This record gives sequence, structure tokens and C-alpha cells, in this order.
Amino acid sequence: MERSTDKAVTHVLNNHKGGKQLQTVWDRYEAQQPQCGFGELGVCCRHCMQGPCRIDPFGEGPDRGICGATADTIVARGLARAIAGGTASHSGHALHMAHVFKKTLEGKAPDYAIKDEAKLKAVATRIGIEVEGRPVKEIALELADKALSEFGDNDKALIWAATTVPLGRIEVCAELGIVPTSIDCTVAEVMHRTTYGVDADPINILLGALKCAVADYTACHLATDLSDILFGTPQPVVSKANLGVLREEAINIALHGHNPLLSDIIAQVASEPELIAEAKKVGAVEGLNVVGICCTGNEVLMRHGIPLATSSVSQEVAIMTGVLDAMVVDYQCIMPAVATVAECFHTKVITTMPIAKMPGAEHVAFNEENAVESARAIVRQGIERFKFRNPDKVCIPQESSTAIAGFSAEAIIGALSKVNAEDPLKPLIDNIVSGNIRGICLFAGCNTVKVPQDHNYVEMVKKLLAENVLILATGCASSTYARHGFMTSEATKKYAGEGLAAVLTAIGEAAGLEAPLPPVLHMGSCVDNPRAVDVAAAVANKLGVDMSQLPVVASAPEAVTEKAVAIGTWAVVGGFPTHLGVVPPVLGSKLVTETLTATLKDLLGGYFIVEPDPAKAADALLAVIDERRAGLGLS
Amino acid sequence: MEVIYVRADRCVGCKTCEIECRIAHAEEKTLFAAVSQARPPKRRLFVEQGETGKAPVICRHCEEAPCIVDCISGSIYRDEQGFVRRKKERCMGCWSCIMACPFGVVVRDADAHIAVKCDHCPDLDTPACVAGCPTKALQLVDVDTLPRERRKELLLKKEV
Amino acid sequence: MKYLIIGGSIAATTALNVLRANRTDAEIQVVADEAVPFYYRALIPFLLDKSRRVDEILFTEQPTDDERVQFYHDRCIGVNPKKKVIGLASGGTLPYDKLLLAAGSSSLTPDIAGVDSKGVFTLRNMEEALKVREHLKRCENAVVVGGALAGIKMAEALQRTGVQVTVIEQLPHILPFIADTETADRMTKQLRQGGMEIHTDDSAEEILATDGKTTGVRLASGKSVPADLVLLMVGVQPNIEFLADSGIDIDQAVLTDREMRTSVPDIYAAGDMVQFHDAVIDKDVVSALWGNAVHMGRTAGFNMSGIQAYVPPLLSSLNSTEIAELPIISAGLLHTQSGQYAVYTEAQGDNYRKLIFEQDRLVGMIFLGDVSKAGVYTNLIRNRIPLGNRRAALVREVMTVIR
Repeated sequence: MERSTDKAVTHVLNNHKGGKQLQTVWDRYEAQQPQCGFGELGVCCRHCMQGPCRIDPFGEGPDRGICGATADTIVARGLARAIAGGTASHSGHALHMAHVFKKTLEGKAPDYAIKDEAKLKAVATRIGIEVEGRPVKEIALELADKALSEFGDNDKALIWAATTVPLGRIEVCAELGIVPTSIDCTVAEVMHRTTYGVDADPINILLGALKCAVADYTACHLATDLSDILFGTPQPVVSKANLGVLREEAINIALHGHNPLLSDIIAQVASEPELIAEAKKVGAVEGLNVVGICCTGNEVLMRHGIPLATSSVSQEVAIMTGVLDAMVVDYQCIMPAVATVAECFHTKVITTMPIAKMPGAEHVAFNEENAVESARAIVRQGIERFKFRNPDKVCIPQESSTAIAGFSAEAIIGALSKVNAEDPLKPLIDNIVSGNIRGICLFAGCNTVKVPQDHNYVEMVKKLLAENVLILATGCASSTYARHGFMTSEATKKYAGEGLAAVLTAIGEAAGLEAPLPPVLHMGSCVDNPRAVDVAAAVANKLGVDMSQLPVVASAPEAVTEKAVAIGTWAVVGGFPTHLGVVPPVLGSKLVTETLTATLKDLLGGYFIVEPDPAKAADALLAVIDERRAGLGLS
Repeated sequence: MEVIYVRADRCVGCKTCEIECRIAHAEEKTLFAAVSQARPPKRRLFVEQGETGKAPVICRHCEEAPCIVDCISGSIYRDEQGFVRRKKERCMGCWSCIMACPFGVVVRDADAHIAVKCDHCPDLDTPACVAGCPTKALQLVDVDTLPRERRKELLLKKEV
Repeated sequence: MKYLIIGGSIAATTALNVLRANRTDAEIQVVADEAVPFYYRALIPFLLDKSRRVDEILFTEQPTDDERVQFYHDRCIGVNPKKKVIGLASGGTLPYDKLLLAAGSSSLTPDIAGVDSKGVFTLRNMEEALKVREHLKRCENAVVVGGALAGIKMAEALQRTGVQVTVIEQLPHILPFIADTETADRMTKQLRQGGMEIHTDDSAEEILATDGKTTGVRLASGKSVPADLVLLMVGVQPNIEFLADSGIDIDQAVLTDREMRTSVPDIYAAGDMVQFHDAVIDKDVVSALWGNAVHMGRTAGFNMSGIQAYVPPLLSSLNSTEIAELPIISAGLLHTQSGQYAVYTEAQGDNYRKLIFEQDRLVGMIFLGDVSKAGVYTNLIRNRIPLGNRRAALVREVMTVIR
């Protein structure tokens, strides 16, 4: 099977100088074949020590586990735990953010500050904090406490969820009993109800899982809001994406992981003249070149225009260029293999977080209370490695694409307000009504080793753009479209259907760009998916309908992580038909499969569409968009 | 004569058969003893990813067994039940059987310096891989009924 | 039906067992110049170093235990197809209805001065092995003339008994029929590390002796190597002299069809004394490979029993062994570098693999070290399977294993 459709990645895989024994994610995937079908179907259970148990999917062997759990129960429990895992990750990310926010306000983290007062006030107002006439710090402290209380034991619905979705959604969730009152308690509840001998009703377990997904949404939204307050709300910025951004004559430091608490500070110190001088002194005549990988790469791309090197599945490939002096990581999606691949080169892998260390890497603890000094120390580690670089092992591909990023909800509304300052949403709604914009699709999720990298994304987006579907992208989806040149004005001319191209051109010109907006809007990292919900909620509220009626769909065509499962699930709860291009481990239960792909449609409006073939998936999404348009009386 | 019959469409690739095979050829016949054995027991069948799906690849106990033809030391022989087996004490580690087997299911035990192959578990009522297969992808089938079984499967496929 | 088999090695015994299994009415006579019981020739090195006793290298089932089988320890000196009798060295004759020629091959003795000295041996059968073993008791230095597979296996056995061994090979590399230069170099290095001396590109000119007792070998290069034992392992030739007046068609060896029938009715042939066509190298060849002898013996046995059978495709190069603790399996073409072929090699540590393709057919291979699944590929060579567009995938599959 082809490994990647990214020419830069393919070039390095074919020409790297790391030696034949170097193994990448694709080699390890091959070595894992065949993978266990019980796991693939979700019918194995290791939740107790009487197990492991598994159900014969062919119906000849056991049809229940030792405790009596059927395939339906086992699959539902497994899915619920995956969602809990994803939610725990986003909770960790958001809580980390909230802690540092509080420390900042208390003066304990002097290198952070409130960078976006307008966002602070907007969020405060939204969650019911009195803003008028109060000092910023006071508002912020109250906001910090409200944020922290989202993780604890409460008796009220989570504020960050309840204040960001249309009323209709809240009613639907209340009716189903899936309104969470705490982020972390909900994760704990899923772990509790899926442990030995608690919840055996597959539907009840799935409802618990849906509730947990709402908690995940809450954590994501909270994290995004706090990031914007501390580091600024993204605005359109032009940069470059793909491995061609690495430079032979510079110290190349890759920021990999998720949280901007680390990466934003490193992005800041990387422009300090002293550090650049130190880099030049060791022989890197072009100074420091900080690049991004995975979602923290998206964070610094949007806020600092820092180029994006590659996405998560190809993280090892960045090292294999032979010019990466350091890879600085925080948490999530960092393959332990990077430390092994780095052994074939001079690259130093630096872990920074107490909960995320790996054998073979150097741990340099990142201290938020002394963030800038910590960041400088980390950058210096990269500078030190330059002299160990082996010129014979250099393999930098040519490819890099221009990419316009930074389309936060605020930035999109801002651009629209250039068309209609009184009523910014009107041009968007008018064009949806007229059919110039047939619908909106949010692409989210990861890159998987199970399909040639980016293949599903690219094939689907070409088809959808030609059919006038406006594309929003986050996480590794946005990285994919940035690397493949879909985030440029030229891409609008090349790929967008007539109606969509006209709209993007009109907005681009009104906004003073003298060129169309890109047809794929980079909305941020994977934790930033709620930004897309904010836009959809605004449109729904304006139209007086629920989100489940909008011609808006979501797709995770190359999903990998538990986080992606959680996000996909809350997208469904949000009322969006959500496509998965990789079959999740649920097919061992007909009941669960049918619930996810059909029954939920009646309950929530949103549901899962599982389709590995990208062409068929695009057709399915178009059909859903048309169905929704018809429901709204649009042709 | 009963032989092991592979129904590839039933294989989910869990490799339980490989584990059961190792246990059956371990010093103590338990999983935990097998994994902690100083020289872990070798497996005699291999779950592989083929072009059309997953399937265990296993000794066919061929009628004109190439491994018997090429064995130059009299180690590989056909037992009274008709299964192709290997006499440990006769094996000199020349690997001619590995050279001969077109299915690649004779392997080298480098520690013991002998060739290792499926012996159809002569001490068990049912070979360990068959007994362990959770989806009945491995079955014991009487040779005389095999054609009928095959015919039945083909018919089923045609109906679909 | 009177069956007569000339020969006592694997081709003969395989045919004998097929006859026994398929013809209850058979009267079978076997004439061989080695005494029974039958034994496995490949185990002779273990007899030499005493790691196995004589009874441990014998066939576990002796076909002569069958009362239908009559064994003569004798040598056939001629075949008369008109009278359907053979002549014996002991003077008598034996009649047959169907005759199998499976007399095998015997050691070549090189034309070197001093080969008659005491302590010089050829070594191919049990009798010779026991003689060498007896002589070994008084030895410190041994020279093996000939660095092909048989020579190296004997050299290793001698070394295991504690004597200093020197191998003389006239070609630039040892093991020319099972290894390419890369593999041979690795083997040579490994053997030398184990204390064996190896002289390639050199040959024995004279065996030096004092009072008729071997003391050393003088080489073409001028060097002298001390030796109180010399093994001559320079190759074998098919035993076909006795057929000179038989009227049976012979080229380099006996010619047969695919049913192992010679040009004369009711006379079949099998084993080392048969010439066959190697489809991979497209040449008529004679080989002394065990597997080929089994296939030919089987085929002859069936056809002599009245059951039609054809010999499968045979290769003149198909070997598996272990030398200096390195397993090696090779088949087909080994050395070619010519543009007509695509050659792939991969080396990693002790492992080395080479694949040679002619268009979409695998025509040669060497697996050194990790020999896993070699049979899958030797069978692609033997059966000349066209790979179509699977060639690249096959190379990847083979090479990834040792990466």
C-alpha cells in the first residue's frame, strides 16, 4: 500500500539516510498485520480479572462473557471508555490551561498575561459574569474560578456547554438525560458504570457515553477560550506548510504536541536576538527556525505564523530529514517511536511534561512559573545539537505550500462584517439560502497509518468543494489541507464550484485581500473544534432553528485517537451527521452499530456515517446536506 | 483420517492458535509457564495477512511431502496416523526441510539446533490450535468428508 | 514379476519402498557394492567425529527386512537387455523382468603425485569413514583437497575431533555450487575464525610422504602444508562404465524420459547416474543431490509398478546446510550479475539474502543466516512460477524479514 500521498513525506521515506533498520509507523503497522479481529470488532473485554473474554462474532463460540455481558454490552462499554479516555485528555489540557490562567492572575506565572481583553469580556458575558465597570483582573479571577469549577462536583449543567449551544440542543440533551454537571466526574462516572458488574444495558451505557462526550466538548471549548484570552484570538495569517520549511542553514526546532502553554512561549523566545545570535555562533547562519508538528503546530501557526512541518502520522519523518536539531513535545499523539528514530540522527527529543516522558528522550521540565527561562533553556538544547548534525544524512524535501490560517469564529465573523457591518451573518445565511454555499463540512481528526496519508481528506474535499460545500478544518485535517495547498486563494479558483468561488471572492475582496478567501478555512487545533460549533450555533440562532436542521456535516476521514472518538460523538450530539473513514471497533454489536448510525438520527439529528471509501463518503455527505436543505425548504 | 481444515473466512487474526500451539509444545503446558520458559517454545503455525484476508498457515501433512523427500538424515517421517512428523534425535539441523516446504511452515529452532514443524499434537485428542480457535476457523475434518464440506462452502458462496 | 535394482543408496531404496508398497506380488532383488544395513550418507561426518554411533545413522526401517526382498552384496559388471540378465563381479548372472539402474556415483581421485601414500583417502561411504576414523587416532594435521560442500562438511567434522585442518580449493572461493562470492567470503571468514586454514586459488601438486606415510601436501603456489591425513574431496562421477556394452543411451550419464525409462525397454534409471534437464539454467546436467535422487527413485518405482508418474522439475542447484554455525539455503542461479537478470541483495549482521530474477520469474536465491520460509521461494524457482506484477512485493517481503 502507498504510505503517503504527501510528496514531501514520500520523498523522505524513500531517500532518508537513517539506515535500513530505521522503522517508521508504516513498518510497524505492517509488522502488526494481521490485527486481531476481536479487537477490531470491539468484542474483547479486559475489564475484570475473570477475563479476558471475547464473543465469537460468527455465532458458533461463546455469545457472552464470563459475567454474562453480551457483545452489545462489551462493545458499548468499550466505546464509552474510549470516549472517557478522549475526554480525560481534553480535560487535562483544559485544566492545565485553567491552572496557569489562575496562576497568571495571582502573579505566580509572570510570563503569561491577558492578551485578549475583548475575548475575556466576551466569554465572561456569555457565562454570566458581570463585566460592566469592573476591573479586568476581577472579571478574570471570577472567570478562572468558574472555569476550575467545571471540573469539580456541581449540581448545575456545565456552563461552557450550556451557554454555547442553541436552546434546542439543551432541551434534546436534557430529555435524554445526557447533560453533564462536571467534566471530570463524568469521566469517572463512565469508568464506574463500565467496570465489573455495573451498567449492562448497552443503550444506557451509550447514553452515558454521549453525556461524557458533552463533557469533552465543554473541556475543549474552555481550553480554546482560555488559550485565546492568554495568547490572543487567531486572525488570518499567511505562512507555509510541509517539510520544505525545514532549513539546512538554521537550527530547526519542532514543537510537537497540543498545548500552547509551552509552544507559544517558545515561539515568543525564538525571536529574541540573543538566542538567534547564539544559534549563529554555532554556525547556523540563518539563525533559529521553529516549526510546528501536529496540533501545537496549529496553535503557533495561527497565532505567530510559525510554519507547519507535518502532521501526526508523519511525525517521525520530520526527524528523518536529518536537520531537526530538537523535537520539543508536551503531550498527546507523540509516538514513543520518535525517540528511537532520533537515535539514527542527531535530533534530541525533549519531553517537558511530568505526565509524558519517554525512554530515550531527555526530560527538561517546563515550569510555567518561570516559563520564558524554561523555554530558553529548551531552545538552547536545540542549539547545542547543531554541531552533531551529519551533513551526509540531510534529506530535506522541496515541498512546502503557502497556507492562510487563523480563521477563528471571531475572524470569520470579522471578515463577514466587511461585507455587512450591521449584520455580519447575513451574507453567510443569504448565500446558504441561495445555494451558492450548498452546505458546510467540518473536517477534523487525525492522519492514520491505515490509509495512504491524506488520501481520504484530499479526495473528499475535492469533490465537496466542486459541489459548493464550504470547508472548515481543524487539527491534522487543517494540517493536511495546508500541506496540500488548499488554504490559498488559488485553491478557491482551482477547486471551488462556481457559487462557492463567487462568495469567497466577494468576502475576500470586501475584506481587502484583493483575492478570494481560501476554500478551506483553518480553524485551529483539534481542541479548537468548538470554534466551528460557535459559527454553526450563531447561524442556527439567527435563523431560529436548531443545529440539527442546518446543512452542516462533519467528517473525520482518517481518525486515530480516543480524542477523535469523543469529538466525533459530541459532533453527533450537536446534531451534525458525522462521517468516519476508519471503521471504529463497534461492528461486533449490531445493536450498538445501528444505534450509532441510525437510531441516534431520530434522537439527536446527528449520527455516524461509516464509509472507508472517500468518494462514496463525499456522496453520502452531499446527500445529507441536500436532505437538510430540503428540510429547511431550500432547493 | 482427520485433518486440520482452515476456513479462512472465519479467521479474525487473533493468533490464539499460535499461542495455543506454543503452550502445547512448552515444557509445562500453561500460558504463564510458556512465556517464562528460558527458551520460549516455537509456534508451528502462522497467522498471516494474505491478499484476501487473514488466515492461519499450517502444515498440510502433504501426501507427497517435500520435507520428507529432502530430509537427508531420516528425521522427517510419516507416522502411523499419516501425519508428517520430525524425530528430534535424528535431526541434524541441515534445514533441508525448510528449503523444501512450499508453505514455509517448517521453522528453525536455533537454540536446540533442530527443525520444528506441526506434529498434529499426537498426545492430545484435538490439536491445540483447533481446540483453541475461538471462531472455529480451524476445524478437524475427516478427510473423506472434506470434498463434501468444500462443495457445501462453494454452494453457499454461489447463493450469495 | 521379478524386479532387479542395482544400487543401495537413496534412489534405489526409495524405488524399492514404492515397489514394496504397490506390488504385493513383487520379487525384488537388490545388488549393491556396499553391504547392508542401509544408512544416511549425509550423516557420515557425525560418524567421523563420533558424535553419532553407526546404529544412529542407519535407516530406522530396513527394506531388506521384507521377505520379498533379496539382497546381494555384489557389483554389476554388465547388462544384457536381450537376455534380460545382468552380470555380477562374483561371476554369476541375475535375471529380471524390470531393471532399475541406481548405482549412484563415486569419488573422483585427482591425478596428483603421491596419492597412493598411507593416510590419503577419498571419503564417500561408511567403510571409508570408519577407515579414516581409525587413522585419525594418530593425526595432528589434516588437509582436505576440495572446498566444495562435501569437503567443507568433512573439514568441520575433522576439526571437531581436534586436528588442525587445512582446506585447499583451486577456485577463488570455497563452496562454488552453493554460495556466491559474498556468502563464500562470509563463510571463509567464519571458518578461519574457528581455526581452519583455507587456501583458495591454489591446488595440491604433490602429496609428500616419508616411508610411504603422508607427511604433507605441496601446493601449486609453492607452499607446503604438514599433513598426516589427506582427504580427497574433489567431486564425484556417475557410475556408468558397466553400461558400456548395454546399448542404453548415455551422454554425460544415462538418458531417461520423465517416467525414468531409459532407451531400452524395461530398464529404468534414477539418481546420480541420470542426466536431466535443468529448466532454470536450461542445460542438461548431472547432479548428486539427495532430493533429485528421491524424486527419480519414486517416479521409477511407480512406473515399474505400473502406476504412471512423472518426475517433477529438478534443479541442479538446490542446497541447504549449515557451515560455521551459519545456515544457508540456495537454489538456481547464484553468481550471475549479467544485465539479463535483476539482482537484489540485502545484508544485515549475519544475515544475507539475494534474489535473482529473469523478467518476472525468480531464477536464483541465497538465504544466509535467517533461512525462514526459504521453501516458498525455492518452489517458485523450481516450478518457474511467473510473478507478474508481484515481483516488487516479493522482494520487499523477502528482504524486510532481515532488516
